Amino acid sequence: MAARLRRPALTRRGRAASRTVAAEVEALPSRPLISVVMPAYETDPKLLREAIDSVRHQRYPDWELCIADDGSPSGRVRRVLDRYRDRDRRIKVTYLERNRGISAATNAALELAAGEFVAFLDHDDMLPSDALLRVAQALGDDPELDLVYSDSDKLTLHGTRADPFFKPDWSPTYALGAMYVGHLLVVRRSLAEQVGGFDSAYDKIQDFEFMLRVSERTDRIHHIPLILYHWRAIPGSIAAGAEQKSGVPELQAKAVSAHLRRIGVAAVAVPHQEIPHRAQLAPDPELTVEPAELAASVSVVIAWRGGEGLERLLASLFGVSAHPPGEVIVVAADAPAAAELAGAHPVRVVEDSDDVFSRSRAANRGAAEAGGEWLLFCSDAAEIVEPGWLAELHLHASLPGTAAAGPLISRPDGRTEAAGFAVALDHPVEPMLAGVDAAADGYYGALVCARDVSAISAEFMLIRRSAFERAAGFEENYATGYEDFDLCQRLRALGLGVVYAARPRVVVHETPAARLEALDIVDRALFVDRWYDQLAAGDPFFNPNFARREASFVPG
Amino acid sequence: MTAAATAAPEALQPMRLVIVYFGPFNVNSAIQAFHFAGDLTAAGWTVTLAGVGDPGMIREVGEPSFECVNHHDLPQVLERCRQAPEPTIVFAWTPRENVRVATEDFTRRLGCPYVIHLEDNEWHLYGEAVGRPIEEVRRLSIAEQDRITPPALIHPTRSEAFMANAAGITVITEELNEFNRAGLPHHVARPGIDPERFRPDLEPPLSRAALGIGADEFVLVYHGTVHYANQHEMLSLYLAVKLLQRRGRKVRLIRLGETDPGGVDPRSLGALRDRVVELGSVGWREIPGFLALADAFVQPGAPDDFNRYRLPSKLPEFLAMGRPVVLPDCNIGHDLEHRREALLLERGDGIEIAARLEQLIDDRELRDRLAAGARSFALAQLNWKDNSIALGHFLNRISRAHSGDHQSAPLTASPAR
Repeated sequence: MAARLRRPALTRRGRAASRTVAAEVEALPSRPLISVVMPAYETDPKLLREAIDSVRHQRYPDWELCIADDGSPSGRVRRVLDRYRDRDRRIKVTYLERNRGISAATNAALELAAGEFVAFLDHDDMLPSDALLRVAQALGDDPELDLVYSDSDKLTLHGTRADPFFKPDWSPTYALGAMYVGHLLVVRRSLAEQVGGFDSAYDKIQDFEFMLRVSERTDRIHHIPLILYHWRAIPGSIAAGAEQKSGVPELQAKAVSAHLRRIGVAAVAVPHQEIPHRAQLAPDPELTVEPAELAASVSVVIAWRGGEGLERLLASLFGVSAHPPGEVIVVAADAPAAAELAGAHPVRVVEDSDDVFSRSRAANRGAAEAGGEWLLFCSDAAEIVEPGWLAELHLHASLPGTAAAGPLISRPDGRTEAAGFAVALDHPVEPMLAGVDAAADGYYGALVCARDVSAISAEFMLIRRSAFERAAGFEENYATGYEDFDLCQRLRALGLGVVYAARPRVVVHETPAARLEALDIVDRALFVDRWYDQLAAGDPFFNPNFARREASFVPG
Repeated sequence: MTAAATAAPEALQPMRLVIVYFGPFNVNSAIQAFHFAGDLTAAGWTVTLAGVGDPGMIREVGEPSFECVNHHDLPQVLERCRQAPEPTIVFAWTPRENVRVATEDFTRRLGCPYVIHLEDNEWHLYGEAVGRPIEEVRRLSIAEQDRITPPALIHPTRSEAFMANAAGITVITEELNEFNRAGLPHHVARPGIDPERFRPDLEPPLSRAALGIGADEFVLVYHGTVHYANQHEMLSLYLAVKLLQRRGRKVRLIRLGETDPGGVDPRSLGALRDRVVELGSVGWREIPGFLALADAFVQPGAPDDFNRYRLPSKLPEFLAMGRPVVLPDCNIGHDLEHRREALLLERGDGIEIAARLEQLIDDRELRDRLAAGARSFALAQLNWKDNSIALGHFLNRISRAHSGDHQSAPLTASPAR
């Protein structure tokens, strides 16, 4: 049986690849010991061997494998583990006397670990052979990192790889709604110990809950956009579908709510009504300011070029909203026409006296006139359709480190127009998930979960006034558009976040995509010129494995 | 610049100079090598310029008064040097690998010193070309570095000893001396300009009207290829012109050279070009005439790690043409006085370039002052002969210091193998 533990002989191609990998290992500035931590329980011996072998075949040499058997009754797991332990000194094994659950078993395995970093591997999953090498490279590039995670895919029962999950870079907002970080997860061991390891109260979602607690201690979190983990989709596992494990949505919401309490956010998490394994945020009724008081702190600024949409927008602002905003300012080239459309609504009309109307200049003028703590920029193409829109948008714009939030922008036919915007050099701004049913999950919850994004549109944007002023408002060299995307880049350059809030939904009658097409190409070039380096580096919240065009989360 | 480089009390001592140049004979910096070689030859030096490819290509630059050979012919040059001993110095034009190999072989066999010339941030260029930071590649085995390093780039590790063992360093701009980590004697070997070829009163080969440009339009001329490395800078220039046109300013850009759009948003770049007068490639000798069409020149770009360490070859030409010049506040920009000799850019983006051009358009007195200041600077600081002689003095001193260090070994002695 010992022969089974031997590596297969290398082919010529394998030897060439091995030389390349050897050179990559040689190039590492440091080689921290990585402890791969694995809880096991009644695992199919074949799958267990495959999981262990996937570690033993790592090209990165400085690893150890720490396995805790969670009191498997049949003895077959013990037979496999004993054999590996006896033949490979890098493998450590501990046996729990009784079954204590996955968190306790993971913690027991964690106690065996001596590495500077720990990587988590489930007992039937697999690592590709370069997984730890890529992690070590990331750690070598930035030794300050505390946590590294990667993309992943699934292994079917037949061993076929499927369902790649191409994740965004660290998005604390997305992490509240979807268990997106998942595997491969590598954490500095001292940090894992500081947070107390895994909590048995959250078995089934223990790694998600662990990640939330770790994120409260560090933001030195790095994403590797490579598939470095194969997740076995066997019946009963979350990999086969989150609905396979009962009680998961409630546990997930409980974990997020506890996390929000710990970080001082006045919100609770609730399972999504139709897609319960996605959590959505709602104002905490015990902690949130009175809705009327909140509404009073908001100044709505509408830069109005002309057109009938203004009447529809104002009617929805005052007719649909649970509480009307504190003030509404319309900056218009044709002030009498704006006043006429405003009718009886309490709207302040400011005349834009410049020869050529500029949306950025008009919006800045409106902001200068506004007195609210919050500014809501919206276009006359927007229509509010949900009464609670302001509380939900405000909640997301108030998340720690966040400056601005935008809603799900949908078309009148219920299709998504934009769920945030992705930026890139060759396609400077693309609406995300355009054309997708607005009630759908999107790509791994990208539609129903709030996410950090690179840009949102001034079709409907709530921004903290202080952040708007810190970013010096809209750049007025933009004549017809892009000033909103530019503002988002400046906010991000200041270290402030921009969030797609998922809720509420706002209907836009003139679509942002159509508007983008109609814009002066000089404004598009201006955006590229000002943000060239950032665009060339790629959108951190839109995985590079996706096709850039149309930002539809389709691998390209 | 070192004190040794600025003071030149002694007469220039003719000696033998072998310039090992990294590339073909007809590219921009070969023009600089051509001038240095020609001026020192006129001063009595024996100069050989060794490059890559056909030495006859030098005639695109001018008729050489010195010897031009391919790197492969250096053994014959070496043999001649051995047969007619005289003080010899090798001038390695960049520390790139093909130059290093040829220089080390030649100097080891002849026992003469070498000086390395830096004209770019070679370490940055390596990372751009190979796609990996040079520090990362340096951690690989030497054999692996040899395998992945092309001869037209520096070798991550071998270049270190090459730099450290040089007798001196010359730099095209002072910032490059940051890479002189061994603290070797250094000299700013600034290029020059032919003030007769590039002068303010040249007649353009064709009128503005022939190009469809109105007499009241403010004209910029830019010559040079648009390629991947400079496409952002060119986007900024095009954009500045468009922003001004959108504000109602009558501004036009004339472009000479090819356009090879790479990764930049093609719609942006394409749309910005629609009112640019694109004349395509123009012969090297015709360029001054086309530059005479300009009211001002702009060298776009940010004072970043790329631009800090280079001196675009067109800048001396812009300055010598006696027109206002807008350029980044780095490299030669550090030596130009803002608002007297040039307008300097802090960011170099389209908005800032447009703002600088508006200043020029609105202020006739500023334009006149900058035009005169640019020409004066070019005449005083960018004189080929003066700069060549200054380089010769530096090389004299390096050679004397070397012979002092090696009194027991004749300069032309065959070294042990």
